[in-house]
Parts: sequence; structure tokens; C-alpha cells
Amino acid sequence: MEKELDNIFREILYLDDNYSINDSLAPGDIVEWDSLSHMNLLYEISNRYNISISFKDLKGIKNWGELKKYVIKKTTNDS
Amino acid sequence: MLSKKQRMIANIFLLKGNDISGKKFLKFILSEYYGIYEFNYYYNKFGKPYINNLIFFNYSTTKDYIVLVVSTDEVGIDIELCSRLFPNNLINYIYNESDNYQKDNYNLLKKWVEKESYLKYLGTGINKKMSDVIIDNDINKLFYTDGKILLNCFSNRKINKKIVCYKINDNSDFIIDDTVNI
Repeated sequence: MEKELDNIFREILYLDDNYSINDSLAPGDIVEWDSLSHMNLLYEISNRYNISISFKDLKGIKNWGELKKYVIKKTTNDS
Repeated sequence: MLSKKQRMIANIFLLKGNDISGKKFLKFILSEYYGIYEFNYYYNKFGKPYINNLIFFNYSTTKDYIVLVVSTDEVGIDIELCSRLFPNNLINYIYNESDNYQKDNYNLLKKWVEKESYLKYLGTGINKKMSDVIIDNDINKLFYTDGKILLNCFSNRKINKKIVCYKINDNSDFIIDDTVNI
């Protein structure tokens, strides 16, 4: 599922295949990950996995790795 | 306006490590414009940063642009490229069903920068759907476009502020609003 999420990340942010995605990436680290992309990313993830992402939960999430963990946990808990 | 030397420094400064950092740009502007080299960040309860409790700022980046507003009171700013395609799946995120809205890309982006800059002005972060956000009409709003970028800035009325928009790698910068020197 992590790889799938990385693919979604790459797709939404229009990153080419050569771009190396690492878990420490945070919004603003790359120009493509601005507020509009961030919201689009959350929306896409919530639709693809049929989960509800809480704004309150997002406050503690600092980077892509933490967001992935949150989503994976959510899909496990909500299923 | 930044001098040629300042723009060169800004380019190096901003592109170091291949990231674009508003805080780096802020540090640069404060030193180059105001001679402020040392300062501390303070944060409100939602994590919005301030400087020395006297200087308020906010920044936004998109592709090759970074825009920074520095002020003596609360501010919020957001920028987008006019050429950006607004994701269709976010239309219902920013608009209520009851809202009358124009579905063309320009107006969708315009609404986005308006609401995003307002949330940044409030400093509460995104804590609800944008469609539920109602903008206070008493708050000063500045909207700017040159056909390449859309920019929206909210601030308390009658405050000193400076908005600097910088196009990275292009050696161009411009002041959009410079009410009074702070």
C-alpha cells in the first residue's frame, strides 16, 4: 500500500518517474507540493481508500511518511 | 525593488538545497530591506509564526514565484499561477451547493486564493471545509493579477504592510502593495 500511496503522490504532484520520493518530504519542500496540491492529495487519498481524513488528525502530521502511516492505519481501522 | 546584486543573492539563497523556503526569503528581505539580521520566531496556539511579537508575516509559493507580506498586524496571503488547472474534485470543497459560482478555471483559482489567504490570515490552519468558511467583509482584502499569477492578501485595515513578489530564476521582483515603510 505504501508504494500505491507513493504513486498517488507522484500522480497528484506531477512528479516524473525519476523523482525520488522519501518519507521526510514535507509540504513546501518541493514547489509542486503547495496548498492546492496538498488538498488535492488528501481528497484523492480519501476517495481512493474510502476514508475520512480529519483536519484535527492532520495537525500532528509533519511529512509524507507520517501521512502514509496515518492513511494505512485509517484503512485498517475503518475496514 | 531589489537591486541586481540582491536578486542574485536571493536566487542563491532560495535555491540552496533545491527547496524554496518562505522563512529563508523572509530572512533575506528583513536583512536587505530593514537591516534586521537577528530575530526570534514566536508561534500562536495554532502554530502560526511571528517575529519578536512585532512583525507579522505570511508567505506563499507556487512554481517559480514566492510572495511575502510583512506587516505590523495580522496578514494572510496566497498565490497561484493563472495557468494552474484547478482540480475538479475540489470544486465542492471550496463551494457550497448554495453558492453561485463561475466554473471557469480562473474564477475557481480566484476563489481558492481568496479562501486560502483568509484561513492563513486567521492563523487557525485548515480546521474546516473551505465551503464552510465565511469571509468577514470588514477585513481588508487585496486581490492582484497580472495574467500570470493570482494573488490575494487579507490584512487588518489601515496597517503598514509590504508585499514582495519574487520570480525565482528570472531576476524579476515587484512590490504589489507598500502601504507605508515599516
